[in-house]
Amino acid sequence: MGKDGHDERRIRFDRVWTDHHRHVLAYCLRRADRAVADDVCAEVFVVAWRRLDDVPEPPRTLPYLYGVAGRVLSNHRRSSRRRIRLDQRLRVVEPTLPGVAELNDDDRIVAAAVRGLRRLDREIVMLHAWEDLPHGDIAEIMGMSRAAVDQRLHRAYRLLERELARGLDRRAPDVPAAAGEGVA
Amino acid sequence: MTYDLIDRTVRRANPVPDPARLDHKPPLALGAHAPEGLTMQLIERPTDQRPPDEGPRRSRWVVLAGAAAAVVVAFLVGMIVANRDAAPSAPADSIGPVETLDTAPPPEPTLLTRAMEFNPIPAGEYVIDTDGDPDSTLLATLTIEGDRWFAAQPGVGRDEPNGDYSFALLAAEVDRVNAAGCDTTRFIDERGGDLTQWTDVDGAGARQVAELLAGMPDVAVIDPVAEMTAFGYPAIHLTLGMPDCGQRDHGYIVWEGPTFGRNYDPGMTAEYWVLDVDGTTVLVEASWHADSLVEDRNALWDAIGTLEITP
Repeated sequence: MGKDGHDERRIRFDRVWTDHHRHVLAYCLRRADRAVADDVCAEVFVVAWRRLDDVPEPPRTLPYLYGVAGRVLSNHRRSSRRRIRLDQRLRVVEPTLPGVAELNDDDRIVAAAVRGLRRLDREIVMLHAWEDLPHGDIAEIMGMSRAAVDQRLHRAYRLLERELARGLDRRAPDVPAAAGEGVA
Repeated sequence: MTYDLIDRTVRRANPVPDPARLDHKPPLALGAHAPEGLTMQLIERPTDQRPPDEGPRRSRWVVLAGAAAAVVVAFLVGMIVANRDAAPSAPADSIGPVETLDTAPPPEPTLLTRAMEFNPIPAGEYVIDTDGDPDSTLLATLTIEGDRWFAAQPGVGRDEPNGDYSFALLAAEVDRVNAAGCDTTRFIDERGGDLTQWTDVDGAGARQVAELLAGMPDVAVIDPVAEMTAFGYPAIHLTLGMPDCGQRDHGYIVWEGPTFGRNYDPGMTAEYWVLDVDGTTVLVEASWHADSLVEDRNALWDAIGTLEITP
């Protein structure tokens, strides 16, 4: 590769990094603790650099990177399983990082209910509600039809509705919701 | 809680609501200097400058080295294969897309026919002819996993361990809807199947069919009629709880199509998506007993997640 090609590659990667690394990191932080999120985010961009020719142009770039992040995170969890119970860590989001929200009690219940969904449903809900992706992009990332995404999301929300009703009922006697913060 | 409200509730619980606020540098230096460093590793790696082989003595060593390398490679391949066979399957709760490296072409899906009706069927992909007419093109495909499934020409059912059965997933073009609830059920029991109490819905739109279902006099409307997109098509969604009319053996009849009539036990729940598939009304049903096993319900939802309608 000549110097011009090298420079073009660097410029393109810098643009991918600058435009998207916070979103990829946010994706990871929504699914893993900070240390894992850092590692996974970094690995996503190593993959992006190695396969820069495969990285699509915007607006396809971010869904592509989310797809890579999902696979890297999945691999990371599998490889870590023998050493530690990563499941336990994956349920914790440290609120110390700027940009990571301090959730109130109700929102913690909601987040826990989301994480309690079955694997594919959980990922679809997160991609829809937290990454705010259109269903077509979710279908592409998940490798399923748009119809399946529609259906699974609808089903997952129905389950969440029931789980939240139970979760908030259980919580209600001990931790009263602040005025205006209750989940209807 | 409406769909919109649950959506807002979930969005509000986003742990990282605004990625732009993240002020953070990941540990691996992938910032402005990363491309240069990675370039050194991945692109500007020195090329192999080994001089060409020139003598017989060197050739002998090359052959020996090659043989040794082959032994090492064979050993490593064996280890990898052994580890792969021993490795656990993908964790059920892992997050992210599922990677599949299987390059073998998938088997052709099996068309469910009347001849197969109520016979056990193995896991696999199946095609449902929604009206039983081989000349029409509207088909539904779905994939089932596990055992205890049986064929029902407009869908699949699942035998329950207690000896009962629960139709799990049906996709049918509906001709008639029970207009009189328990009265019609009793009428049929007493008069041997006279269908004069039925409402003909052949050619009716999705909303009309859905409203007739929801308007049956004895059913409990668990989820009211609501517009949505389902399986890629405009749809009307509703969920009904089936009444106790004193019926036996799934005797409460609700709808009939060209090849199938659907009856229910007391207390069964039926969830419907009435689809408008390019002008054809298709009823997709998922139904279960109040005491159906979680395992069976999960299998049901997994199968629904694979359903695709082809006009």
